[in-house]
Amino acid sequence: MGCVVEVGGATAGEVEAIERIFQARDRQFSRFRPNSELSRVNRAPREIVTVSKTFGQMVERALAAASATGGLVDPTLVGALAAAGYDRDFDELEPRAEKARAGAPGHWRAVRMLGRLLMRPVGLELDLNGVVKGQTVDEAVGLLSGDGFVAAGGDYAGRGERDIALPGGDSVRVTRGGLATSGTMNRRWLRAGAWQHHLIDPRSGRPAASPWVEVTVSAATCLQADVAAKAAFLLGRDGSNWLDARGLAGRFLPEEGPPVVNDMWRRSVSAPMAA
Amino acid sequence: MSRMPKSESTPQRSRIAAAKERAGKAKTVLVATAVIAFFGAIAAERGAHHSTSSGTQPTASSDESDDFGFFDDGGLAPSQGQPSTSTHTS
Repeated sequence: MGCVVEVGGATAGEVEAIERIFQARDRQFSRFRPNSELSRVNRAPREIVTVSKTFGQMVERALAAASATGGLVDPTLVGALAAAGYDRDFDELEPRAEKARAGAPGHWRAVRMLGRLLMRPVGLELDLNGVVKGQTVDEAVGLLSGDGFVAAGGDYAGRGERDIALPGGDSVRVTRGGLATSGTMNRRWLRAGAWQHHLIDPRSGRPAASPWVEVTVSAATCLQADVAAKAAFLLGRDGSNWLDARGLAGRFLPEEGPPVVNDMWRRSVSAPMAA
Repeated sequence: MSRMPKSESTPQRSRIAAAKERAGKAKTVLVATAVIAFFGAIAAERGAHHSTSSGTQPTASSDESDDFGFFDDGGLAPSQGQPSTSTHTS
């Protein structure tokens, strides 16, 4: 998944089990492994493809995320990512002279799952990485027998209360559920001297222009937090209200200046401790 | 050991056979409906995909999106000590 996985509070056996699940998900869902199930599905020259149960469930989660965000978090933006220059494993990306292009806008509504049958127009490729990462962190925490946590590429989920450092300084205590950060601080690259990043605006098919460099969201699960953080980032200054309307706490870090928090975050973090 | 007379068991078997036949027909109808719905969706989406080069435009705003049941709040509190880990950018 192109990220470091950190595990706390696990036994040696649990660490091994968590390692195995992340490795298995990477083998199955990497778009840069030619033999991954995702790559095989994306190459399939038929509109209907039979997929594994896990794959189908991830597609269903991705479609639910797209629906819940009004299409902002869209699993069909592979062409736009490639047009922006993200066409190989992130560690292999180097600055290039050619300009980034706009890719095709999102088409998530053209994707359907029926049991284990996936239907999509031939050539419409899927990128499930975000959903897979969040869901795998949630599942990995489920493997812990006691208090502990799993963190991977900005996504955190844990059992028990724990203080978590936030982008730009400061920290917060997570008492329940997951915490996720989406942004452009790390996963970005240069094309013709201009920074590109992986958070594609499905309306334009280009990396989103946002006043934020990092958006952190707390939700009941890591997957929900990750999806909400991406949507809030893409919504720019409307992201704060969007999160409040859904009862989610969010923290927004601009390029310069102090972080901004929404009402839900402010209420949670300034709430008096129980006696 | 006594046996049921044939005349009594035959109507019972007939009723079972009839029930099985009705269940089979219902199952066939259900499968056919699902297949028709699935291929109907394919046809509709194919038309939509080919007719709109601009794709499906996101509609997210504060009020527009079908997020019923997807999001639930987590739990946050003021920090009380040294962080155990961090939430880096993804």
